[in-house]
Amino acid sequence: MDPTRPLAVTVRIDSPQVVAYRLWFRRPDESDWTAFATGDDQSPNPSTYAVVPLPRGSVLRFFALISGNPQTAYRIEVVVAQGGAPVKPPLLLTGTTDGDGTASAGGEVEP
Amino acid sequence: MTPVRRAAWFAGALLLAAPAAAQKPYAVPESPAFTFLNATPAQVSRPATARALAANVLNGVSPLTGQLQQGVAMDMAPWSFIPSVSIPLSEYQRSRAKYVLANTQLSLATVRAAADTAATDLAVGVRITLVDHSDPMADTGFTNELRRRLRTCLPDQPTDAAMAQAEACSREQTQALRRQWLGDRGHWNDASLAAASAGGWRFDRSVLGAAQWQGWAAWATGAVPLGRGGQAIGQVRYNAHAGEQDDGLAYGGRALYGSAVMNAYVEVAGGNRTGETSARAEWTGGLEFRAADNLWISTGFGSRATAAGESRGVLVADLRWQLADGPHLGMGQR
Repeated sequence: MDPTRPLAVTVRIDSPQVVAYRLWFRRPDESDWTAFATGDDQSPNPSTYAVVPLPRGSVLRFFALISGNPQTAYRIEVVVAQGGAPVKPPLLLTGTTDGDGTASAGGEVEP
Repeated sequence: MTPVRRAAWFAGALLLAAPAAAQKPYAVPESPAFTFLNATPAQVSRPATARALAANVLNGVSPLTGQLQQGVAMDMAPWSFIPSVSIPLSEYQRSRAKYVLANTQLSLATVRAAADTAATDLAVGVRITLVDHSDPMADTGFTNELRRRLRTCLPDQPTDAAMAQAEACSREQTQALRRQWLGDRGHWNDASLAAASAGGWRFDRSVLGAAQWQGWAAWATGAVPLGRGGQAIGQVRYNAHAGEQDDGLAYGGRALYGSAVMNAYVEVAGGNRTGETSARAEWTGGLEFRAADNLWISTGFGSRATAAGESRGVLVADLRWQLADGPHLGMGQR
């Protein structure tokens, strides 16, 4: 990762649930997270969000609330890229909703 | 309410209405393979990727002996195994083909054979929902409101405590909105059509190469609304399960109309099965009165087949427990 260039985070939702999600980053010297994007399944699919250049050691975090029919499969893919090329393998979030139809999914990427 | 839940309610109502000898579980099973084997697995794995499916399948075979493991239970959506297939909510609501694909479930189960503890019975099944107008996820009004509520649940900081709080908020909002949609907005009796089928094999000594076909079974259920206060449900089951007593066709139907405290109903059940002396349909009609929450008193009359294969009139006086969020709940909240 080049710490002088912006990053782009792309979120793609492949499954039939309502999804609301938020993205944060945290620089190595910070204790709080900074939210840089909030989206949902009605946002363009996929949705791409720009991130300011980040120093090495920074972390990106994704968290999604998922709600649909009970015991249904969900699949969300999050890709962090720079200059159009992924900087890490995609974050693939899969599973099934619970008996109430809800689930949450999240993950971290250190670009 | 999904067709399965509605069918479960209906089956439960039938079971409690009829004498034990005439109990007929017509519901389209949620996991046909489990029903085919008459199994109620304590734990069901639900792989959502091809890799997870492969791991589950490998776990179902002993690495030492190559024999099938007993007690495997899987429920899965086949579309989720194909990375190139995408069914976002917008397409689920727009495309009938994608709706059906998303609601197609495969099930697989293994159990110890009843007559031979060394043998394993294996069944695979498929369930398809063709139409379900009582599916709130197909309603853009419901999903727009759910989306608005979920966004308010998102945490400001992604800490463990904040995310747990967000999950609890999401669950609470989902449950509340679903109840409201099914009840207050009068969707409990919307039209639906679902079908399922399963087949099975017995593996002697649980060896993979020693499979014997055990037969198959199929189910179908459909429901249509009768105005805002009624519903008609029809169910059919065909069983070709290797010489069992209930092999053959069985069907049932129920229509009801009423209010939050009283319903008029008509039920019919019949079939043409190996172990039955009569192919005549049995019917019952009458009134149901709510005695307490989820408890109804049913009274009426109808006909039943005798052991000699003839029909005779019967009077019905029963208690019925409402097993799920069914018609009575919905009408109570109109």
